[in-house]
Amino acid sequence: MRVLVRYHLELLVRSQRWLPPFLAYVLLMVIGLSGGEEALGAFGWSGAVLLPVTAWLVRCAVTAEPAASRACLTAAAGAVRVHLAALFAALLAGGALALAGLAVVGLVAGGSKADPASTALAGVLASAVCVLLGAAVGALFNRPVLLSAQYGIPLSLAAATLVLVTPGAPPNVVVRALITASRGRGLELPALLAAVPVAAVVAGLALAAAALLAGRRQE
Amino acid sequence: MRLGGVGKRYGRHAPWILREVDLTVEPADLVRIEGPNGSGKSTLLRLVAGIERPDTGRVEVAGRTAYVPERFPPALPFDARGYLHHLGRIHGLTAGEARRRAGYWLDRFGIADRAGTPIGRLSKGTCQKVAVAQALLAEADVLLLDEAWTGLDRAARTLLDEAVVERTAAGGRVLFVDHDPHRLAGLTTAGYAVADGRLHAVEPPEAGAGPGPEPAVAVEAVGPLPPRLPGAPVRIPLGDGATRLEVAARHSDALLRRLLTSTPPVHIRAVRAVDEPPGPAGTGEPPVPVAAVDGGLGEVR
Repeated sequence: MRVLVRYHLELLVRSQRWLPPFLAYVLLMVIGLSGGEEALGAFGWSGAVLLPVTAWLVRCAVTAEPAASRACLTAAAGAVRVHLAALFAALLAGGALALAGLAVVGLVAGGSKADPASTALAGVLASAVCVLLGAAVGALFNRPVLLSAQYGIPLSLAAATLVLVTPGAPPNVVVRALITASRGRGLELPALLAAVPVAAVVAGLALAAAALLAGRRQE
Repeated sequence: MRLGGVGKRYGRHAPWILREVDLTVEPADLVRIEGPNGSGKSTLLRLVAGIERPDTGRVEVAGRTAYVPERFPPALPFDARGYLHHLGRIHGLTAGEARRRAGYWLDRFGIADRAGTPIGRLSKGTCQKVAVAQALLAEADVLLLDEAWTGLDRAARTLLDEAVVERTAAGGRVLFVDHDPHRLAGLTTAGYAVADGRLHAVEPPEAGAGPGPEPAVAVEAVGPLPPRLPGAPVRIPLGDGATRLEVAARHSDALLRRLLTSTPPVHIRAVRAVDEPPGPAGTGEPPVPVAAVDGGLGEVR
């Protein structure tokens, strides 16, 4: 499995398909933040942007491989493992982007309404939740679940927006907690901590379902 | 490897591509699948490879499986060596072994000088060599070749023939689709034709369909011989513990390569054309002695 994930990561990097989502992330961060602002709010924005960007990275990873070379991989390792590896590669790419984003935001942001350790922890937790849910959205709205790009792209964008605005959804909980805290109303770390396992379970189920479907469905 | 009652169609109301296909392939079998374009030959191989799932019946394949597709995409962003190394690792080889075999097959196909070229910039034939090497380096238990010879030059086609013979000699199962009726003639252990979605057994092509009888080569080898050898040579035990192997000339390279790379090692004492008088005791010229070679195949060829 590790070698398959490495193959897909290298495919994602070498094919330069990671570039558009990466640039979109940078662009949205530049538009949303002007530097010197409150760190918690900036982390909240970063998390919100990471969700659709990770879903996009998943799309890049699962469509990067031409059908014929995917057939060679499938013969060697089985369709389920091949697809799961592509999803993990996108998840890792999203995680790397999140870490880079956190580092940059931490450097350019001004003071925080909470102590530095809690601020950093809140940023990491929010990013993790948003990357996990982004991967789940990406897994469920691309091949092998949705085969056409015509519906896949708008639907995954709609789904990403929906999980961000639906009250109670983990990304909504963490982003809201950060924004609220940035306005000086206290940082609720327990709510953030509770959202992580929920996001992990949702992402695990979504990735597993997509991978199992890859083993069954004709494309 | 066994298929039982396998049926396949693309869509609930589409016609059946394959119906009630039963096929058993034993180790060392070389199976030819033939049929007109669009008859379902490729679908059959893809079912065995696990790329497609049957709508009815069961496909049971144990062991390592490798597949060469009809067309290999030049759109991959890897270079040839990197791609082969990755595929070797995915086939379950260690990093060192994957690197060694990638180098070996690049070398054997004569494309080692292009090992660092991105696959997208290789010619169509070179690209196909990479596709073939990808499957061969796995030393798979089940090797599936879907018109793998198409696009290869003459030397590479011969090399692939040899590699297939070596694979079956090592106990692998090979299934191939090719439109050349003489492809691997005489070595094919079973032939099937796909027609109207059914699989019909046909007589595999005989050797010697070409012009005239073939010249044979005799190899005198000392040491324990592997149970299966390329070209199915005739074995004649000699008094002093050596074995004389007689094989059709076109399989002699594959046979020597197999002998020289076998473990425990086999010592090659002599190689000569079969119509020459045997043994140094004969009145004719003594046979050309062949030095014991460890991996240096170039010295024998």
